[in-house]
Amino acid sequence: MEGLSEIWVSVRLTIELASITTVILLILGTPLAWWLARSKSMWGEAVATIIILPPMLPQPVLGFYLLALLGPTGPGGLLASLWGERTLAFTFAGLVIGSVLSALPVVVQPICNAFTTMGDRPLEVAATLRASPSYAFLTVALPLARPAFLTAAVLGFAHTVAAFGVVLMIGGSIPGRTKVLSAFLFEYIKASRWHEASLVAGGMLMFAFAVILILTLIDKYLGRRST
Amino acid sequence: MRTATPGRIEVAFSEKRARFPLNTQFSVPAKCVAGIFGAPGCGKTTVARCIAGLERLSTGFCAIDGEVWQDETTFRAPHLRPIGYVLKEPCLFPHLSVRRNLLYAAPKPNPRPIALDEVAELLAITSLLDRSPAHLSAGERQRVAIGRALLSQPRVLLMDEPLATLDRRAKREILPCLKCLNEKLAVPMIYISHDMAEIEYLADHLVMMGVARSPRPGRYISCRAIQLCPLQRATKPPSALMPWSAAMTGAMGCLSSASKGRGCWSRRRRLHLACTSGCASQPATSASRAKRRAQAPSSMYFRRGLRLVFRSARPRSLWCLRSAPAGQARIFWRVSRVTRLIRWGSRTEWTYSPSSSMSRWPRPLKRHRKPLRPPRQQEIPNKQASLLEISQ
Repeated sequence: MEGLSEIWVSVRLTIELASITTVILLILGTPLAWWLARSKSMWGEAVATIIILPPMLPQPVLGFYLLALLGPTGPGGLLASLWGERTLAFTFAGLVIGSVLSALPVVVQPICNAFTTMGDRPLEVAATLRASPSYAFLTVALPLARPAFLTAAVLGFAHTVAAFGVVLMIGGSIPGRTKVLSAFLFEYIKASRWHEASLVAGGMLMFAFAVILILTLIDKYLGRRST
Repeated sequence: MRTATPGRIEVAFSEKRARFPLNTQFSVPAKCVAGIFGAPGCGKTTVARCIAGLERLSTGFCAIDGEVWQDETTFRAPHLRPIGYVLKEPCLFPHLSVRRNLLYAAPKPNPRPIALDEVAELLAITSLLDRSPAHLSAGERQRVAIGRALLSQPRVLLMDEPLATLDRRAKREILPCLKCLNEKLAVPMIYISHDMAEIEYLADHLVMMGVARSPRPGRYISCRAIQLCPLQRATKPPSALMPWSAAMTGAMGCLSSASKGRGCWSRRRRLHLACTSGCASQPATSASRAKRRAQAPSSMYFRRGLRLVFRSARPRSLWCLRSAPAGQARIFWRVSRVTRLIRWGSRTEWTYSPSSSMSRWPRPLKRHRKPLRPPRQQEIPNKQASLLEISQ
């Protein structure tokens, strides 16, 4: 049963990574999406294009650039030297950064769309009702975009769990530290251990199905209650 | 720099950009209901947005009761302007209940001096407080929106065609509420509408906005003109006053249509609307009539109702709107030598004989000897007679 305990470690690691990534994505993505939806300058378009890029690239390309960024000679190495490490590559922190960058578009897009379709009207109405811009954002824009936030969170989580190329290249599949489920599955298949591979694959499938179903149901329930 | 006068709402906005030139200026007492009337597309909503601070034009002045909200140096952000802005669409927040919508801008914990109970009772929405906006009818939603604006304790209530999307029945529910509001809460109101019946029902002062377009499509040659005059409030329900609104809309229509084909418009590029002084409802004595006649040729006078004279920059082209008591409004307008006549109702026929020179203006309006169209009432006696015959 050595294999099973290995799997559990890997599962815990994957869920941890996906949760942290999702939280960071929502915190980063919300102001970014807000700015993208409201800005009328060329900069907005340029940044939007950069954000959309990662899914368009083959994952090894993204992985290569991330390695260069996080490695000892890149800015990641500088950052790591602050707490006495040599590099961010092949660490959990590096894995989080890579996942955030690769899943950013799937989180920013729905939120940005929600803010765009909402239009200026609700915020203008809030402004005429003495709401300062920040208060209007918190009490009007965020609640109105709530379904988009749920979608974004689910997509971000699922995308992180499903990430493979980036995770393998940055994480390096170190057991207990960066060996997430998809990397684990890849190793089982390479070693022709079909039984374990089918367990992991089936589990991931069920998990994805359950998460999406539960979130959809929650959203539906909340939606029905609010209207 | 312009200084603000206490006790008045002063607004002046102008924008000379090619796409949407706007030139408005008016000043009304800060205690009345000022109606802004104009054909659709003449910039009423833009003026409202400028007053609310949602749009910023290159030159503008806006002061409410001595407090400057906008001039050359200052521009107060919209959330710092104590204004109650009601839009065409109610725009309630769908994620909040009616009560929380109403209290969104209200000072906590107890809104004063305009309280929730008072507003709810006035607008007849007490029973809706715990519902969600999704389950309200259009009229109820609009009333909630008005209540929400009121509970923010505004210094001025700005209403941008609040009844435009409603049917007649909902209008009839809300209009008396609005009248009640103004009488009970003493909040000055700027009421924008393209329906003269509503304005006549509510407003004490009228601001008219006109638009003139160039003969080439899509290019404005004239700025919007604005004119002001005191109105007497109508006591009849709006439906009885419908001919009025039709007459006014017709007048605005003829202003723009007249400007289309006339060469004189492109020269001066500006439409002046002149206004007769004094209250329209004042009974005219022979002395005052003579005095007014002496002020000719810029104005025309009427015994009752609203008096308006549209005068173009060139004295030759003169538009004249004539109103009689409700139901008998008539419009005369004249472009150079062309005279046309619109008639509403057919009790008395008035006609205007065309003249080539303006020096003889105003001419006395003569009663036509022969009706232009055989009056319909003639049929009724015959019918009655035949009925009588049958009964006999």
